[in-house]
Amino acid sequence: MKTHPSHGNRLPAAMAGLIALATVTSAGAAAVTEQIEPAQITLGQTAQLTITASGDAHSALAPPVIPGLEFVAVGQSSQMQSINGQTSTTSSVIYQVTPQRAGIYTIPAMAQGSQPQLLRVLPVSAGSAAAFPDTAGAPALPPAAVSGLATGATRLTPDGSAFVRLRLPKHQLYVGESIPVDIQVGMREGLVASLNGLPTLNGDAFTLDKLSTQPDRADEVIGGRPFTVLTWHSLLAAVKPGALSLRIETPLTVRMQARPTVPAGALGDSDLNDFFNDPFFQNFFGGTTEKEITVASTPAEFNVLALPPQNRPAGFSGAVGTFKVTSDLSTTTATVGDPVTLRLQVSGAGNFDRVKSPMLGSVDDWKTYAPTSSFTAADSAGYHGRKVFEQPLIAAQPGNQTLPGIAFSYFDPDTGRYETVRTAPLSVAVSPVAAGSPVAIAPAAIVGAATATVSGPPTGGLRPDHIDTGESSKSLVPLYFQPRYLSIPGVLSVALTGAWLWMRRRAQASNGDNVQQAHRMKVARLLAQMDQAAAAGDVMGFFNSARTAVRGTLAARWQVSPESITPESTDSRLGTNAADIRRLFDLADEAAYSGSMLEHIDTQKWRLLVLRQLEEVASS
Amino acid sequence: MKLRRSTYGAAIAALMLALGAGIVAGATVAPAQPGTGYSAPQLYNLANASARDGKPGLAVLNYERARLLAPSDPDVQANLRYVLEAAGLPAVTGNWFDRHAGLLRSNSCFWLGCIGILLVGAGEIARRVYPRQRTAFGAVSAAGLSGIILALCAAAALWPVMSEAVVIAPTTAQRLAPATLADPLSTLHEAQIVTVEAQRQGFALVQTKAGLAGWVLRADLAPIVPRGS
Repeated sequence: MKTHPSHGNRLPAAMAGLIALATVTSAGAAAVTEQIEPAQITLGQTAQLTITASGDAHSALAPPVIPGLEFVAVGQSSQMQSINGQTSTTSSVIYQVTPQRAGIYTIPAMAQGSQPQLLRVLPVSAGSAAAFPDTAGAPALPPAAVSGLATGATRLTPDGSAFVRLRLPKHQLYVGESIPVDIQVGMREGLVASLNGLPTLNGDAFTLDKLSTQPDRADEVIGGRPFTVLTWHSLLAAVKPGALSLRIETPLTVRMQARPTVPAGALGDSDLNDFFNDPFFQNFFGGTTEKEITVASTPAEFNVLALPPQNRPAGFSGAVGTFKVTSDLSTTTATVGDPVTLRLQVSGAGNFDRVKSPMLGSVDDWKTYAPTSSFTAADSAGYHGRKVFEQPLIAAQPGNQTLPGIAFSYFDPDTGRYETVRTAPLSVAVSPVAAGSPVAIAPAAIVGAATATVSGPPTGGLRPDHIDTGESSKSLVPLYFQPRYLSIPGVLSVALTGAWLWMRRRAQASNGDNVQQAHRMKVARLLAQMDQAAAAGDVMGFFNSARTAVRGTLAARWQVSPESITPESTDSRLGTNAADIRRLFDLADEAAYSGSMLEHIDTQKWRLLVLRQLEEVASS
Repeated sequence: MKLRRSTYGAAIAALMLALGAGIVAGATVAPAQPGTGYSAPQLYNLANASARDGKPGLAVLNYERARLLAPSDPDVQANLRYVLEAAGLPAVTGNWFDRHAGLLRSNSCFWLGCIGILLVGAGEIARRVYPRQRTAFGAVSAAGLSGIILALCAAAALWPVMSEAVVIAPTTAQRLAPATLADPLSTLHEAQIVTVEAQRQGFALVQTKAGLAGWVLRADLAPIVPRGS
C-alpha cells in the first residue's frame, strides 16, 4: 500500500522537522486525537483523516497501515504556545483516505488514549445500502479483527529474510465450500531480491482461486525488523473430505551473506554489532550473493466434511454458503410480443461459481429464452457478492399471466443442512396488440439512453415484436446462389430437353415407317391394277399403272414429289441404267395416245422391270 | 412498457442465442450449432431490440436479413423505414422492378422456377404424346413458363443484395486507397447501405447509392448476406 505523500519530499521533511522540534521543546502532556470525515462513503469517494498530536506524541502523526486503504498526506499545520515559560506544540496532519474495496475499516488508535475510528465503504454498484442490504455492510476481509480471519502463525526463514502466512476464518469446512483466505508473504527489505512467482498450494486436496498479480502491499515490523508484506485475498476450497493439511509456498530470491556476520558481543557493543550486521551495511560493501529458495507457511490443519447425501434437493448445483434470493420483472404490464426480463438475484456469501439457476423452462403462453448471469463481488476475494440471472420472456397470449416462482437450493455450512428457497410468483398484465398500431415502447427509459447515441434510437413507432413460428432457414444465401441447389434446375432442364428430343425423334421415325407402308400399299395396288389390265388386254391401263408405280417408287427413293419424276430427271440421275425406265415412260405415252399399236407388247417383261425398281428402293 | 437499456442488451444476447448466431467484428454471422438457422421473426425481433438499444446499424442489418426471409412482411418494411429515417438516412426505395420483384420470397420463387421447368417439359412432351389435347397441355406449358419468368425476376432482384453491406460503425471514412493513412474521400454513417465491389487487406471498396466509391475498413461493415451462412 502506498503511504507516501504525493507532495514529494516536502511534507516528510516538514513532519520530520516538526518531530525534531517537538523533541527539543519542553515536554508537555502528550495527547493524540484522530477524526475521519465522513464516516461513510461509497467506493470511489475519499474521506479525510485528521491526526492531531500535542506534546511529545508526534510519532503518532504517521499514517496507519491498513490493507485496502490508501493514505496520502494532503496538508499539515503546527502551533507553538508559550505560557508562563512552558512551551507546547500541537501538530496536525491531514490524510486523504482512498478505499480500494468496499467494507468496514477500523482505523486503530494511534496512541494510548485516542479513539479508533470506523470507516464504512459502500459498494459503488448498489448506490445505497437498501439496494444491497445483505452485503453493503459486509467486510472486505482485510482487517483481521473485522473479517474474522485469524492472524495466522508467522514463521520466519532461518535467515530471517521472509515468511509466508496463511490467515483463515476456520479449520472445519465442507467439500466444495469456499472460505476466504489471506495469503501474506513478508519480505525483509535488502535481504529478498525478488519474488519469483505467486504463492501456490503444496497439495491437490484444495483449490485456490486465481491470485491477483497486484497484491496489497503494507509494512509490518516483526521482532523489531521492518518487513514489506504482500497480501493476496482469495478463496480456498477443499475437493475431498478428511483430515487434511495445507501449506502455501512461494519462490523467492534472497541475498545470502558472503562473509560471516560479526558475532554478537565481538565488538563489545550490541548496537555496533547490529550496525555491522545490518543488510544495508553488508550490501554496501558487496558481501552478499543471491540464492533462490522456496518459503513455506506453517501447515494449516483442516477437518473437511463431505456434503451429506441425505435430503439433497434435486436442484442442488453445489452452492455452499448462505444465500438469499429475490426476483422481479422489468415490468408488470406488457403487450403481446414485447420482451419482459425476469431477474433473479442471489446474494450472500459462499461459492458463487457454483451458484446456478435453471430459471424458467417451458411456461404456457410464454416464449422463454436462455438466461444470462452476472456476478458482482462485494469484496476482493469474491466471497461476498450477488449473482443476477436475467431471462428474457415474451408473452404469447394476452391476459393476466402469472409466472411461477423460482427455486434455488444450497447447502448452509453453519446449520449443516440443505436449504431450498423459492421466490414468490410474479404477475404480469399482458395486453393484446392493437392491429396495425405501433407500440409505444419505453418512453422514459429509452429516451434517457438515447441521448448517448449520435442519431438516437427510435423511441416509439416501432411495430411490435413477432411471435416466433419456429420456421427457420439454414442459410441466408438464397437458393439461387447455392451451387448444390443451382444444379437442380439445370438437371431438370437437361433431362426434360433430352426426353423431348427423344420423343420427337421417335415420332419422326414412326412417321417415316408409316409413309413407307403407305407407299408399299399403293405400289401393291398399282401392281394389282397392272395385272388386271394385262389380263383384260388393256395396254393403256397396264402402262399407265406401271408408270405411276415407278414414279412413286423413284420419288420415294429420291425424296421428291412423284410429279417431278420425268424421263429427263431419270436420265440425269440414273444415266445409262435409266434406259428401261425411259422406254417404259415412252411406251406409257404411246399407249395413252395410240393404244392399239402395242397389242403385241410383252407385259410380263415390263411387270418385272417395275418389280425390280421396287426392290431397289426397298433395299436402299 | 419500460425497459432499461441493459435489458435490451440482455434481450439481444438472448435472441442471438436463440438464433444460434453471433455477431462479431465484421458482423460475420453464422449459425453456431449445426441444425440451427435463421428465422424471420427472430431476426426481426433482434432488429427491434437493436433499434431500441440505439444501434441502428445492427437494426438495419437484421431488418434487411429478415426481409430476405419475409420480403412481404409489412412490419419489417415499416420498421426498416422508421429506423432509417430516425438515423437521418433515406428510406430504401428502388425502381418498380425492385419493389415488386423484391416482394417475392426468394426460396419459394426458386422452387416455383423448378416446378415451372417441370411443367414446361412435361407439357411439351404431353403435347407430342397426346396431340388431341394440345391446347390443354399448352396451357400447362404456359403456366410453367410464367413460373420460370417469375423466378428469374426474383433472382435478378436478389442479385444486387448479395454484394450489399450495412455500415455498423458510428461513422467510417471512405478512403482513396485500402490503407488507414490514405486520404479520406467522404464519411459513411451507421446504418447506411452500400455495395461492396472488391475486398483487399481488411478493406472493402464500396459504392454508395449516390455513386460515391471508396475504400472502407471491412470491420465497419456487415454483409447483408453473410458469406458461408
